[in-house]
Amino acid sequence: MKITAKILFVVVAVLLLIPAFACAPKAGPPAALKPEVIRVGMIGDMTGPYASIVGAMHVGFLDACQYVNEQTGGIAGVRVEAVCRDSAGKVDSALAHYMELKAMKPRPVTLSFYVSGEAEACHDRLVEDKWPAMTVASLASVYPRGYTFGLYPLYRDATGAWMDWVMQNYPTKNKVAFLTWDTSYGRDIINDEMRAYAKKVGINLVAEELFGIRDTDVSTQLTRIMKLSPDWIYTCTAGHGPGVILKSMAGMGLIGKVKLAGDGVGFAEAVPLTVGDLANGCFVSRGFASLAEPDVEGIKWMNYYFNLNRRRPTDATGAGTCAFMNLLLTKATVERALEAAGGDWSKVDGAAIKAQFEKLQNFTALGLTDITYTPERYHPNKVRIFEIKDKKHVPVSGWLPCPTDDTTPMRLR
Amino acid sequence: MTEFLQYLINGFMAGGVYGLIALSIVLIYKSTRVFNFAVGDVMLLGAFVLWSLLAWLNLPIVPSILLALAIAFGIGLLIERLALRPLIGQSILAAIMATLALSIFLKGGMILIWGTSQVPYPTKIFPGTSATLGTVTLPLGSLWAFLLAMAAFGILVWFFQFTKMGLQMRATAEDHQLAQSTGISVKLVFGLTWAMALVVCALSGIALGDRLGLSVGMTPLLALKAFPAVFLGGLESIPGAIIGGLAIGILENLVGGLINPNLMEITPYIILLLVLLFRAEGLFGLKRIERI
Amino acid sequence: MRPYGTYDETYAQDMAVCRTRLQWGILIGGLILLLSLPLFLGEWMVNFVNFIGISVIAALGLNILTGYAGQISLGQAAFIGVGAYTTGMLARYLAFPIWITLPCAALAAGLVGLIFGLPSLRIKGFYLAMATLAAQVIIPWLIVNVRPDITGGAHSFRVPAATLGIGDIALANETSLFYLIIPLAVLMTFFAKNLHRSRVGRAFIAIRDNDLAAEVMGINLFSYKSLAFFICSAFAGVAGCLWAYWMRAIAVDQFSLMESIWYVGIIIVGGLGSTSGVIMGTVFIRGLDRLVKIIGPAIEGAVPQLTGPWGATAALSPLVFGLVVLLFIILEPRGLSHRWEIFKASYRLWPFSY
Repeated sequence: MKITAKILFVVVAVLLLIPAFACAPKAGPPAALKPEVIRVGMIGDMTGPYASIVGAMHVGFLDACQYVNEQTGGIAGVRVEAVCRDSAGKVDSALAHYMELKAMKPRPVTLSFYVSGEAEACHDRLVEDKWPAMTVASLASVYPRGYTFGLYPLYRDATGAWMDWVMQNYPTKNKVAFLTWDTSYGRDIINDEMRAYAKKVGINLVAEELFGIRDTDVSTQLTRIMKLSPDWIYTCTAGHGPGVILKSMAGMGLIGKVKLAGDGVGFAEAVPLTVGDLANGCFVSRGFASLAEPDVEGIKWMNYYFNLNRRRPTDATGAGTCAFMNLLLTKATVERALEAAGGDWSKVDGAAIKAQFEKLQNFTALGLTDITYTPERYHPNKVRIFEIKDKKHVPVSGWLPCPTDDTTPMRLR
Repeated sequence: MTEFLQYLINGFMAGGVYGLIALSIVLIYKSTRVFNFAVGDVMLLGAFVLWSLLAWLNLPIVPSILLALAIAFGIGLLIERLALRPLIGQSILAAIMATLALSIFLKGGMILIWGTSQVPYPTKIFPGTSATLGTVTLPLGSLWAFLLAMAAFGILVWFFQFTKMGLQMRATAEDHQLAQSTGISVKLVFGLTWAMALVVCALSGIALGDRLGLSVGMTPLLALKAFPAVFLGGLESIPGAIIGGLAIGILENLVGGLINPNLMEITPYIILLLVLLFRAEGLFGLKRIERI
Repeated sequence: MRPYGTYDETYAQDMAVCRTRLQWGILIGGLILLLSLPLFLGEWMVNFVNFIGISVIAALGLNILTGYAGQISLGQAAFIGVGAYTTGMLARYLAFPIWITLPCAALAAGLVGLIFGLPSLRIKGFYLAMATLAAQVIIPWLIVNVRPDITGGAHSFRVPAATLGIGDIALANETSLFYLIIPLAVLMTFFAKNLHRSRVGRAFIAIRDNDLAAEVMGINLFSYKSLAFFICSAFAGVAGCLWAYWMRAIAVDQFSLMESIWYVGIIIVGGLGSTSGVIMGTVFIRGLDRLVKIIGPAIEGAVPQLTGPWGATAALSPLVFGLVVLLFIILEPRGLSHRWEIFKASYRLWPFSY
C-alpha cells in the first residue's frame, strides 16, 4: 500500500512537470501566404481597480470582432479572433500576458492596452518586438515615439481644445479650477505646459486640486476651490471619478453654481448611469462619438451587437466605442499594409503595419472619430465638445483641433 | 472661519462612516481576538445584497434594508462557522491571513455574481442631497451615515450593558476558558459576534453605496481608512471605535483643508504610527501587561 | 528525519544541510538543470521563472522577519518599491551599472525598513503589523509627493536596461535577465538557509518563541529585531532592484498592499520559517495565479454566458487564491514544507510510517 502511494506520488510529480515543458513554443505552420486567422490582442484590467472602466472595453472589443467578421468578412477576407487577457491591475500579469500573446503563432497583429501603467511598462518591449499597439493616450504610453499609438487625443491636448472652446463660447466665464486624480492619468493636466497654455488663451487657472482614486468624498477640495469662485471645474478622471465630484458637489449644494467639465474617455456614459440627473449640464471634451448619436453608422452597429449579445446596461459606455475604433483601425492598417505589399502576406509585419498607421489621415472609423496620425504625432488631435443633456452626451461643437504644439511640445515627445 | 467649520462638518460626516466600520472591527476583536481584515469586502457584500433586493426583486426600500441586514446576520454566522471556527487556538498570523484570504475570496465571489462594473442603487435610499445651515452646507448623504453610526453605537452600548447576551459576550472577551467554565456557550458568542459585526458592516456599506454606487474594485479599499480609527480609539473599546472614527475623519479633513488635500491620504496613517509609538492601547483601550 | 546511516562526528557535520552523497548529487544536478532552463523553455516560461526568482528573494526576506523572528510585516511590497526606485533613479540619472545599484538598493531599502522597524522597541505582534501597514501606505505616498520631479511622481518611471559596466552589454531580454536573477536567487537562498543555522538566526528564533525569555537570556531584543527588519528589507531591496530591471517601467501601484498580502500568503502556504517552504510557496502561489489566468479564458470559451466582467476570467483568480490560502490555513497551517517533511519522514520510516 505504501509503495503504491510513493510510486503514485512520483508519477504525479512527473506529470505535473510536463506542462512546464509543454509550454515551450511549438513550431508553427510555415509562413503561410494567407493566414487562417488574424488575432487582435487586448490586455486590460478587468477585475482590479480599473475594472469598472475596462470591463466595457472588453465587451466592446468582442462585439467589434463579431462586427468585422460578420459584416465585412474579416480583415482582407480572413477571420478575426479576439484574444483578451486580464491583468487585474498588476503590471507583472500584464507582462506575462504580453509574453503569452507574443508566443502565439500567429501572434496578434496589434495589441491594445487600456491601463496607462501597463502600456508604459510594455512600451520598450513593443519597440524591440516591432509590435504595433494602440493604447489609452497618456503621455508616457505614447512617447517617446515607438510602436504605440494613442486612440484619442492626449488628455492635455483635449483639455487645451476645451479651453479654446470656452474662450470662444463663454469668454466671460474664464475662471477654471482643476480637480483631478492623483495618478499618472489624472496628473496629465497638471504641468507647466498646461498652465502656460491657459495663460496664453486667457483662461484664469485659479486652483489645482488632487484627490485619490479611492476617495469617495471631495468636499474638502471643493471647499478650498469654491473660495476662489471659479466658473468651471475641470477634471481628468475616469469611471467613478466624475461621479465622486458630482455627488460631493450635490452634497454641498454646488450643482448649478459651477459647471463641471472633463476629458472624454473618463467622463463617459458611465457617469450619467451612476449619478443620474446630477450629470446633466456637464461638458465633455472627447475624440470619439457618443452612444446618443444614432445617426452615426458606427454607433448603429455598436448598438446592434450590444443588443444582440445582450450586454448589461453598465457596459454601454464610451469605453466600448474605443474598443470598436481599435478594431476598425487594425482592419484598416492591415488591409492597407497588405495592399502596399502587393498582396504578399509575408511582408505584412509589425513594421509595415506601423508604417500604415503613420500615414493614416482623417480616418473616421464609421463616423466614430476623426483620426490623423503623422510620423511625428502618434495620437489624434481632434475633439468635439459634448454636453450631457438628459443623461445623454450631445455634441455641441464640430471637430476642433487640439493645440498639440503648445500642450505637448517636442521636447516631451 | 466658515471654511474651518465646513471642514469640521465634513470631518464629522466622514468620521461617521469610519466609526461604523471601526465598530464592526472592534466588535469582532473584543470577543474573538481576530482582526477582521475582510471588513471592506463584507461591507460591499451587504450593500450588494441590498442592491439585488432592490434591483432584481423590486422590493420596497425599508423591507429591503431589513431583509438585507438579516441576510448579513446569516452570512456572519456562516463565515464564523466555516472559516473562523477551525482557527481557534492558532497564531495571530493565521487568523490575520485567514481574514485576508476571505476578503479575496469574497471579492471573487462578488465579481461572479455582480460583475466588476460600478452600479448605483436603483433608488435613492436616504432622502435629500444637501442642506444649508447658515454659511455651511451639510451633505445629507454623509449625515445619514453619521446618524446611523450614532444609532448603532447607542444600541450596542445598551446591548452590552443591559442584556444577558451582552454580558456573556463581555465575559467571553475577557477570558474564553473562564467563560466556558461558567456555562457560556463560547461558540454561540462567537457566531453572534460575527453576525452582529456584519450587520454593522452592511449598514456602513449601504450608507457608502448610497453616496457613490458599488464597485468591487474600489469600495473595499475604503475600509482601510478605518484601521487607524480602531487603534486610535483602542482595539477593545466600542465608544473608542466611534470616537476614533470621528477623530480621524475630523483630523483628516482639517489637515486636508487647511494645509494641503494631498496630505489627506496619509494623515490617518501618521496618526496610527504616533498612536502605536506613544500609546499603543489607544485612547480607551486596555493596557495589556505581559507576565512570564 | 535524517537519512539512514548518517552519523555526525564533527560539529560541521551536525550543522550540515546536505548529508549524503545523494543529497549533494541532487543539489548539484538540480542547480545545473535550473541554470540550463532557458535552453529549452519558451520565453513565456522564462519570464515566469524570472518572476518566481524575484518573488523568492522578497519572500525569503519576509520569511526571515516573520518566520524566524516572528515579527509580522504587511509592508514588504513598499520596501521592494524603495529598492526599485533607488535602482531606477541611480541607473537612469547616474548610469550606474548593476554592481553598484544592487547594493545601493539593498542598503536603501534596509535602512527604510530599519526606520519602520523602530516601533518594535515599544510594540509587538499585531500592533507591529499595523505599523508596517502604515509603512505600506506612507512609503508610496512619499515616492509620489516628495520630489516628484525626480521620482516621476505618479507617472511610470522608465528604467534603462541593466548594464554590467563592462563594455556595452545591457541585459535586455528575458534570458539574459534569467542569468542575473536566478543565480542571485540561489545565492540569497543559501544566505537565508545559513542565517538559520547561525548565531543571529538562533537569536531570531528565540525571540519568536518567547521574547521575554530571550531577553532574560541576554539577547538584546531591540538590536536583534532591528537587524531582522534590516535584513528583511535588504532582501526586499534586492528583489526591487531586479524588479526594476526586469519590468523596465516602475510605478507605485506595483507595490501596493495587495502585493504585501500576497507575500504573506506565500510564506504561510509555503510554511513559516522554512527556506524550502518559501520556494515551494512561491512556485505554488505564482503558478496558481498564472494557471488561473490560462484556465479562465478556456472556461469562457466553453460557457459563453460567463464572459466579460461577469466572466470566469475575472472572478476565478481571486476566488481560487482566496480559497486556496484559506484552505491551507484551516487544514494545513504549517504549510507545504510541513507536508514535505511528513512525506520525507514517512518515506524514510517505511514500512513503519503511519
